Amino acid sequence: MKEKEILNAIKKIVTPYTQRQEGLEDFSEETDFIKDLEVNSANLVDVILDVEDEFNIEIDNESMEGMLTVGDAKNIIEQKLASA
Amino acid sequence: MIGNDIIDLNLIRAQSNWQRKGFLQKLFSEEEQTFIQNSEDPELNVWLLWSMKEAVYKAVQRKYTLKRFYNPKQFISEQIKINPGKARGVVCYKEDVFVINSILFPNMIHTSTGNTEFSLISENKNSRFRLLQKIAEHKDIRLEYLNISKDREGIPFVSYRGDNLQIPFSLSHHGNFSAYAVSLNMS
Repeated sequence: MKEKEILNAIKKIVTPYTQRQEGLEDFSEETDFIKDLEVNSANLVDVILDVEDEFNIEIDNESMEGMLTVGDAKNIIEQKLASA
Repeated sequence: MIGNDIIDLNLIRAQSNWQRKGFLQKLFSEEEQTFIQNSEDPELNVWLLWSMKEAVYKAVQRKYTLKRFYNPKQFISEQIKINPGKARGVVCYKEDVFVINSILFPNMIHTSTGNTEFSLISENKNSRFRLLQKIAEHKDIRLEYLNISKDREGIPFVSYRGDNLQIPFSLSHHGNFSAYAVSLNMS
């Protein structure tokens, strides 16, 4: 899967949980789920569950720990897809 | 170190579906899940335990100046006792054990670590001002020189003419509510 497709899928997933819409306008790998998009911390779990469903992967606690930005999520998805 | 967390129950109900498949498993240990499922009010307990984990996360992040991280299962709540309008328990993080206290309202939960000397909850945005007012009063210093800033990890601190006053406090916002917890003794 191309990098851009992964980023688009993440953007689609995170949109309903985003409380700061401006954060979506300059969406990039540096975008921070909590700081830039103001995703509620309890909704981060929903983002993770949606990512698992979308890519058919499992995100363990260790991977989840560092999933703070869009780039972090992309890297984890790529790793999991490569090892699947 | 101090930590607190406030949850607007009306908002969290709209934001999260705790009954979603996998949701509880990602956040809670087996024992915590059993506690929630066997309780009289599972929904309230989901958010009570979540606020406990969040409050202690803030406390350890500050204590060890950790970078932000997201691993709710590293925070394990135990010995939870619920009484009308309040709850208490402990939360373990690695070798640390934190006593925590919560107050429960029909529309809100506020949890703070046991070393909290006072906490203030407000339904409007002026809690920041009220916090500074309280500190100015307590320390007998001028309010207009006090400010709240955030460090690189997003941890807030109180400054006096730009200097960090080293007052341990924690601030939490959710929906209509904001709350702070302060420990002035430790400064």
